[in-house]
Amino acid sequence: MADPKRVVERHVEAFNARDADAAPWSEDADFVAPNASMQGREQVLGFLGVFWDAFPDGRLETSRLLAEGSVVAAEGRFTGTHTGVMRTPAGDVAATGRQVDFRWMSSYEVRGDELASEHLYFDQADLLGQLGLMPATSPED
Amino acid sequence: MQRLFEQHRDAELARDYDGILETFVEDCFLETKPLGIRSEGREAVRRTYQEGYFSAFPDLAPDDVGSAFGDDVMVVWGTLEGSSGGEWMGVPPTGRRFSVPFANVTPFRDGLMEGETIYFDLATLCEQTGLPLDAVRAAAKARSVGSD
Repeated sequence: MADPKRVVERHVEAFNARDADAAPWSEDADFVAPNASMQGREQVLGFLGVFWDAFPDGRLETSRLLAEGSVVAAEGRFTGTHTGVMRTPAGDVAATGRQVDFRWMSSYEVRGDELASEHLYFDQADLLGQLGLMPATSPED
Repeated sequence: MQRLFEQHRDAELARDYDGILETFVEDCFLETKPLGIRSEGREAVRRTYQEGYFSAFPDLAPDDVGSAFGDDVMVVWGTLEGSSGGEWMGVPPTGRRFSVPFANVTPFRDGLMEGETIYFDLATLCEQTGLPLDAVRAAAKARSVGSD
């Protein structure tokens, strides 16, 4: 069995390389994010593609990666510039040109050398605030 | 780490503020990511527990469903449940319940918890409770500007 942390690292590397073929999602993967739930590899890649399209320079970085058996927890940052259209359930958001930098936390279930699930925790309003689509909360914003 | 964290959870459940603070180092922190608020030091953390959490959500209860450990850090995730039963940073309560996914990152130092960073989606909590998202965010921003 592959090192579970390494499988998550491969996901991060594939995300940053915009390489869907290298993304280690299983065919029946499930992915839960705030206000979104995806079933199957195709839907998961579609969700990640929203970020690829909206933030062509978007990058994931992990600051912590912990494994407990087949479960991995990761804490990290997403940084990027909103220069593409962001597709949302409420409609398309045209590029704002703004830079975003938000922290996230995820728990993963690894099966063999694939990711079977991800539960992503981040604050949608933090992202929208940084895009100027709602008031920001950070004092420096 | 797990035993100390369980002691911490038991103290939270009992609303035993002294017991909660005993699980933290003196210069501890409590960071609520979606509010952009970071409290530092035991007294500031005590105030956040009292005013930020348990006054606003008297029945607040985390349901931990998973955890992972590093050398000096523990991560827990699950569902945070409760009701809007009191003012939250000046925003009036609605009486409605919420149940939102959360994750909690807890570093350890000197055999105690160094602090907690809590992740959840504020928009989901506000949608379920009927609390006004913009007002809560504005109140949090005002508090973080002059915060500890």
